[in-house]
Amino acid sequence: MRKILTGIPLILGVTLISFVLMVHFGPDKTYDLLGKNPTQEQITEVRHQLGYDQSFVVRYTKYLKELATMDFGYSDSSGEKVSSILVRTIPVSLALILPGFVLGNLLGVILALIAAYHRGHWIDKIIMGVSVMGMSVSFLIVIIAFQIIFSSSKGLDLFPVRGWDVYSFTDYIRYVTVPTLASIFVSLGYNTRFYRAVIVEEMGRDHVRTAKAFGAHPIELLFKSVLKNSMIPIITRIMFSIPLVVISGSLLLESYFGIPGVGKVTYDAIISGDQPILKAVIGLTAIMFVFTLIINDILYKVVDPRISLK
Amino acid sequence: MSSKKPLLSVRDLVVEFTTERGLVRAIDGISFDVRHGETMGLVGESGCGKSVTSLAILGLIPSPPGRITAGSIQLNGRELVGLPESEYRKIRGSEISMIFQEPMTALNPVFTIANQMKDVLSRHQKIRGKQAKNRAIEMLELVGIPSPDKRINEYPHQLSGGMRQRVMIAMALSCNPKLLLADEPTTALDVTIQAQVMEQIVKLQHELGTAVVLVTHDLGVVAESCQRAVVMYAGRIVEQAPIIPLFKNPQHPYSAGLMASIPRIRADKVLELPTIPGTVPDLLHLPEGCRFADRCQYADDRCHKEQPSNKIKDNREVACFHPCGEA
Repeated sequence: MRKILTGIPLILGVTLISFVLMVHFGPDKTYDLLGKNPTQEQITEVRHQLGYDQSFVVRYTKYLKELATMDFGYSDSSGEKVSSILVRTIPVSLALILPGFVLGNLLGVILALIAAYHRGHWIDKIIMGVSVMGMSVSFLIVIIAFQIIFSSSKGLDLFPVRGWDVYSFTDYIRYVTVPTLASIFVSLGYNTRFYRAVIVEEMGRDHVRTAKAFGAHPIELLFKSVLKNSMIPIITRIMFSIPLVVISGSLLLESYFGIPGVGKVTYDAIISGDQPILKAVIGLTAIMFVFTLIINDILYKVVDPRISLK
Repeated sequence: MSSKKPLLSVRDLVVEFTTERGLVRAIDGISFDVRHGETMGLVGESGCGKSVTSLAILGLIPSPPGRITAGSIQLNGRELVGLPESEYRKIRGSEISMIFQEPMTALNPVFTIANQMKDVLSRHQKIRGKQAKNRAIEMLELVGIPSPDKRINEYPHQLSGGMRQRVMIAMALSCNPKLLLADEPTTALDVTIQAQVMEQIVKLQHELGTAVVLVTHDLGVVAESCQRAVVMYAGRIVEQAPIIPLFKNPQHPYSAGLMASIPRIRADKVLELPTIPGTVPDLLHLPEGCRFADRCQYADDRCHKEQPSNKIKDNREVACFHPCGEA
């Protein structure tokens, strides 16, 4: 489809900017490798080995080639192949993030519908009040509090505090529950408030009044007249939060729960200046962004007949 | 007075809205009847309570802030004020239908015409699927939409304003309502389309025997298509009368002012179109006496102090101490 073709210059642009920032102006490893007082010959030789002496265009093209072939070489710190690190860690991160993300949005929409339906009523006020509370508490505090409540001997002591020893579905549930609850708690407030605003606005539209005048039941109004019309902002929000959730959400969760996902790998790579891994993660994030944009546009078309893909 | 019972009977209806500045009486004790199969015009300027009246009949006053605080609305002798929502829903769209002013936004943009029309049919007539679709196509044909079997699968944005209003009419009439409320159905349309749409409403009304309440500020439309008209001013009815006497010989000074300010072909050239001096009173600070007194050339002390009650004579009603055309 033509939409995907327009994604190509976008990917080029994004990778170019991230390349300039992270690789061209990024950390210079020459001195790390050589230690104190290197000779000029040593410096030149190492720079040649690292490819620093090549022109910008050549280095950028090389980066693009790495992206296209998914071959980023070997990690500086562990010596492991970058692609195999990613293959090992990305599924872990997805498994960790996905339940919280899906449930957080689903519950957000459901609570927003309930709140909007009872607008001005005490049910609405309670939901909105709790949402503000959820929004106001820092993610870090929530993680620590949930670890104490669910996983420590002072609390319920039902789940392991840290780690990821997953060999079966029951293991998965054991390890994923507390992080999922924490991420739902944090995202639910934002989601509910946002979705409620969207739904309330849609409820004031003329066509909703028309449906009412033709005898539609309020529940039918909400699910038929309103929900599909509200999908555009809802989809936008969900799609745009995907890249952010995958990167930053998993970063915190993984480091606090000691889970070996891609967020933790990225975090370690930033700390140690492990360029091959950073290059891979940044490039993939850019590509993911562009793809979510494309999927976003396609979904728009699905829910709203007025939008055409051109 | 005709011996036949009216289809719709509104008595002493009061609708109030709670606003930030205080309680507003949008409608203050109005009474009127709609007979079976007649077209009645509900005339008045913006903000006089025309639309609120039609919403009140359908039980759709947004609440809060609005509510009906007094009076009764009876449809075929059945009281509608205070009717439970579930009962009211059965009436909306089947016994009483409504057409709205803005055809551009009154239909749901993300569903096809077929989908929206079938919803109404399955809700009230319990017909579904192919049968409902056929009925919907039939209705579209009736309102003069070309190739309705194709048009029905389109979305509202693919139709012009006039076509959308026709779809609204088709939808409103699809369950054979006894009463059709048309809230400025042609205001948002081009003049040529206006005439076509009005013609369609009048034609269908004759064919189907539906009574129509035509809410409008367009006196030309009223003169052409209504048998009777109710003139509203600042939440009250000032005059109601059959069309020809009302236009020939308006009795309330406000109606007379309205008639005088219609642009028309005149024998003598006038430099300026006559207007009614002054502005509509603020509903929050209504005068003690007649609401039109401040703008009325005939007003005297009594008009400023007392509210005139309705005088009924020869099938017409007027709320004025000094009706025109009487000495």
